Amino acid sequence: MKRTRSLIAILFFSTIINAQTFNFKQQVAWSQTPAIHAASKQFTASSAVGILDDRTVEYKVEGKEIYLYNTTHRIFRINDSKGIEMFNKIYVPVYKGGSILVLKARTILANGKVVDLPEDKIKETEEDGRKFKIFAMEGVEKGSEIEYIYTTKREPTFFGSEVFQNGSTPYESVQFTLSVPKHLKFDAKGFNGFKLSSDSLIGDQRIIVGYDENVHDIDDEKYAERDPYLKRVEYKLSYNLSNSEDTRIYTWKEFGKRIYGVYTAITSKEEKPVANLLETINVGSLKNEEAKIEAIENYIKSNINIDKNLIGEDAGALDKIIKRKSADNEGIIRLFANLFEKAGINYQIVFVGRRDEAPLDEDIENWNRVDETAFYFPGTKKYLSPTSIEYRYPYIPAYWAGGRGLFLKGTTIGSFKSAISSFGVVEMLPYQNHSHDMEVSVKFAKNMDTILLNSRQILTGYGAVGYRPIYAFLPKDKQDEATLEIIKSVAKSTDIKNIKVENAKLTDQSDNKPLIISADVKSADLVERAGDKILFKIGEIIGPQEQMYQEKPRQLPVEMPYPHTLKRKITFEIPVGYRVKNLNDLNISIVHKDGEETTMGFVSNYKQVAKVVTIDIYESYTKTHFPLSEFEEFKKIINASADFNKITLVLEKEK
Amino acid sequence: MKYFLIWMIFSLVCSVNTIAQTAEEISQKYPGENAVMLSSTRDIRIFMKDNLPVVETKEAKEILALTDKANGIYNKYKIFYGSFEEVSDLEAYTKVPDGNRFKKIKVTDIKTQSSTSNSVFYDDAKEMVFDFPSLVKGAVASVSHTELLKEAHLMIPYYFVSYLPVIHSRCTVTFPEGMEVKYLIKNDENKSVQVNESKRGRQTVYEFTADYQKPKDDFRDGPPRSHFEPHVIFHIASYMNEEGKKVGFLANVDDLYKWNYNFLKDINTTPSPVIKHLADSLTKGVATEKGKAKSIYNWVQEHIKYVAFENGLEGFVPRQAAAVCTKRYGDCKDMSSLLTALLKDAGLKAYFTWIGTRDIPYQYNEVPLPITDNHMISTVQIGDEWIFLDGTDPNCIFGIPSKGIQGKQAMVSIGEQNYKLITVPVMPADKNIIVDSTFITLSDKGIKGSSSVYYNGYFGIDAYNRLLYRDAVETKDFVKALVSKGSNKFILDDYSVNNVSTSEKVINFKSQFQVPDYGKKIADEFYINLNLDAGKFNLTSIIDTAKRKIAVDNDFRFQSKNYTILEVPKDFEVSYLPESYHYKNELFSFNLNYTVQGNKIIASQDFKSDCMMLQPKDFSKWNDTVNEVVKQYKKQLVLKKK
Repeated sequence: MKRTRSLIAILFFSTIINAQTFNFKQQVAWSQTPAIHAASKQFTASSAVGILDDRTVEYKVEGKEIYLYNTTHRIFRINDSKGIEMFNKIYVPVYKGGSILVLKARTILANGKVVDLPEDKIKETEEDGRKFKIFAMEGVEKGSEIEYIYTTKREPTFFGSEVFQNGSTPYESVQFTLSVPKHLKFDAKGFNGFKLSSDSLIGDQRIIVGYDENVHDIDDEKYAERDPYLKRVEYKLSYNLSNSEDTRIYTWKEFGKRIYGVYTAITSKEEKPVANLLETINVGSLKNEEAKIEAIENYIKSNINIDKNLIGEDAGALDKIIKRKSADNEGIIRLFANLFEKAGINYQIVFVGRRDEAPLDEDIENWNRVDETAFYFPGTKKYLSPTSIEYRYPYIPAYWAGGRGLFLKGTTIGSFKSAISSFGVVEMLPYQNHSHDMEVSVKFAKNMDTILLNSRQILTGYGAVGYRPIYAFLPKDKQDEATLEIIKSVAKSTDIKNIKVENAKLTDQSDNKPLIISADVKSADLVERAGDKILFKIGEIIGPQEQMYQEKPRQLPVEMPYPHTLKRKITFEIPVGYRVKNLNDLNISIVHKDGEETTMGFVSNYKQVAKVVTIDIYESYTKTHFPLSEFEEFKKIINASADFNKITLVLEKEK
Repeated sequence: MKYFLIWMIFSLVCSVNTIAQTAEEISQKYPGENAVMLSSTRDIRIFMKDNLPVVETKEAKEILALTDKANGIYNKYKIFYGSFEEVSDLEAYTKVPDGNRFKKIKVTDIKTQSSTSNSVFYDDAKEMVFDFPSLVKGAVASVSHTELLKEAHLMIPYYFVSYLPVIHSRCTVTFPEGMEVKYLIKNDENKSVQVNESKRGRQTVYEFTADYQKPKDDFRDGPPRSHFEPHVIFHIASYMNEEGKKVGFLANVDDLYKWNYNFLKDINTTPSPVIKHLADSLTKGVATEKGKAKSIYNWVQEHIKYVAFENGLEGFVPRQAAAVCTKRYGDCKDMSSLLTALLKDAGLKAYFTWIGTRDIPYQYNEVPLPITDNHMISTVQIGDEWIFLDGTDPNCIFGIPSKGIQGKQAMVSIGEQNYKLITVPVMPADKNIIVDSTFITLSDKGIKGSSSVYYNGYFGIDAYNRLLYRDAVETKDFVKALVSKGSNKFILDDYSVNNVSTSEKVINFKSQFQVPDYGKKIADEFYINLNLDAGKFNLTSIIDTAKRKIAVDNDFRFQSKNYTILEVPKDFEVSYLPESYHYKNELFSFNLNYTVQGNKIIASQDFKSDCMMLQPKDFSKWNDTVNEVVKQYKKQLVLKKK
């Protein structure tokens, strides 16, 4: 978060530095005579194995300044061609305003020969606005090792995190060293089993070390988020002992105060344009708070180009934003905050911890972890995302909800605006709000080779959030193509008539009007013949379903984007002169209860009245998170819908 | 002065009205479109400097926002350029309707950054990027810039379409007396491009215009835009030098060769002991020339990894063979350099060769320009046979071309003055064949069985390539995806991957599997569809001819044979056997045979595709095939209890 970093730089100058010099010794030395390491028994099936990942974070006082040195030293054993591809191209990050002091790389061949990387082969490039030194390792073959080390120097930031686990490469040994001048006291916390020492004074440096061994890689899994479960360390400066031994600094409280000031401040130049804008939105005419929130949000999101990568030095100034109708993320958050303020809406700023990322931690106040910003309205107990243009109040990106967030409640001390910070749960809207329902009626055409369907797909809550942008942002012909694809999922056929799309406006999200996509479909795809029998693949009406029939041993708990239900009603008219041999196949019931409450399930049953068969299916996931211990149950339910998808009814002539 | 002011206001009012009116008309013509490009122009001026032709291009675009949604969708604008181009005079602004007039808001911040591409590890391509402000309904965004091309051989074609519908598209080329510029218009079947040639003093002007151009819908399995969007290609054929003599520049294949050859002149000129030693060790004891070439090719395929650096001339000049050998990596040119050097040191006739992959729609004899090639290989002549060796494909079979260059002209560099254009052969369908034998029996719930599948030709090469970058766990997933059949309930039990012939890249996958819920047992009858692989090769997918206007690009011609053998349980008999079926047209053929042999039912299917680039005019041949196939796939076998 850019704003935070610049703030920290400002804050830093108020810190008094106890200037001293010291020598620092590398943890694992760059050997002058490198040799191939003995292969461990573990991880032999991996394409490459990390023999060492050693990272040192060192704060050094030089004269009156303090600098941050980061050293990374890695060694990899290359086992196969994929391993070569993974590690023969190396990217080294170059921090803004920083420099690279040391950069060495070499390949150690199986026969012991060492191929050093010539310095002139190192190039500089930029990806997504970040600068990198890049180089290709020379001489790499199966059985060789790749080793590189680099040290960067930059202006300090007093927060950090190092992740020592990933989805592709296991490591035999990972190490972490935090070294700071003794007048500074950092807190550090290891996550997911990453072990840390308490800090100890060695000479003039205060040192914290962390390590782990045999860190395996965590594969991608369906319905799972890996990042929160990776081994990592987070650290931050907590005390400047030369100032005070018991005043904790860089706390969440302090963060809240500072940021709140930044977001709610308004310059005299900005006052008038903001007031005029509020008038244009005509908020004054609206009585109810919810209507005001919605009006402000809809106006801004429909009229201003919100782009976190907006090019422009002063993209955050409110008068410029209003004139140029363009804003970056911080600018738009400020605009929202000031409009709410002026409109007299009671709001709080919330920094949300995403469920698919490492969470915000209350104990270790890592300001760098703060990423996404939402608004919370105590009056309605609901949220708004200022930066996601496809969302409308009270919907925020699903992964922002359900985790913990830092809430900033504004106060005024004299003329000074400040905030009280506290952690709390960013509540997910209840599961009843989110559905993927369908109503389908089916009958056979006279020729018995084709079925005629009337299909209605009814989507609410987060179930509709993914679809509405189609109708909001795409040109008409692309919208129509997308609608056809959605309808096609029901019966595969492209013979579609009477297409109707209802409640497709983004603003329909606010009162959760169902997005309804309906059509008449003629399909020959679900009918097969076996001699004089007709096989009707009725299960395919619910569309292809995710399956987990053959899974590897599960590592992670279940995480779904949002809780939801799927109610499907299929009405099927048995053709005259025919009977169905196996209607009982339609009965399926698998549910999982947490106490009395059903937390997930798939239940399908049918009723027959004369020639009309009505099938009711209710599938539900009332939570986003299911622990590993419930995974087997979860899998059964997922597979129950995939099983339903394969149900074929056999129709034979009545005798 | 006052008069002038009034005139100014009048003209502004006029233009607001005109544009507002135009906007209404355009909205009707492009319903639901959020913005259009009012005009897209490129004015190219070629002039002589230091006795050489220089190309200066002025580009301008005007975007009209038709709805407020354009603000948020079309603000970001990028200008890409490489090391041979110099960009200047970039000006951009939005004219925003303000009552009866326009208010001009300038773009003030422009960022220059590296432009990264996926296939190249490092290149010097750059982009200038900025955001148009206030793209509200009725606003017109304008951008213009000048580009100086430092290497006149590298003029690029002009495309009349853009990412938005273009109302008016224009390209002009102005060049001095004594210069000859040639042009070629491509993909203009509807004759929408107007050409006008005129004289302006001692300058000649070619003007190409086209109105109401909308890009065709793109498809993942379609060829790149150069294959189907209208564009014009230009090149300077000759110019007059200071002495008044006509100098050939880029008029024909000879000129192109001369230019290309220039990049090779310093490469591998001094003998390298490293290369000689390697060539000797790789060919020691190998009797035939083919054997030697194959041994060298296989070594390069296995040991040199693809890493591309493109930095100015680095994009054209191969590196020295010895350097490529020590580094163990390189791009196509580098691999071509190493291959050619090793082959020569082994006493073979080997040559550097330029070629365009199938992504490029041109051949040298039609378009003798640098845009026609994007690749380098090595060609070896053994007897009368020309063998094309592509170092970038780690598993290509020696003796057959890599799949991406089939049917393309290769420019084989024999010597400084001597080259050959040779057309690379297209491999026939029966060389690229999959043969699948599957045995199944009925189980309590569904089916179980075993299968053995052989992949040959390009299928084999692809499988080897994909396995090369998979570890043990990923290999199982890959095999499962390859051998999976019946339904997504397919459970893979034991399996093996057998490299039947590493030199011919024949690979065999054996598997034991179950498919629960496949087939249907009710009372005393069992229904089963023996087409377990329905849906493979898109055989059940109709091409929507109303929507799709571009070709389907298949990498190669192929054939697939499936034998599904069902063992009938002792207490069952066949009560209904679907009839056999044969279908054939010029491009595709499909045979499905059902036979009974003792207690076994054999369903054998043979599908053959003799088509690489399926053009829209031939879509009906595909759709006819699919319609027939789908009908046959619906037929299930019925077994009845005795």
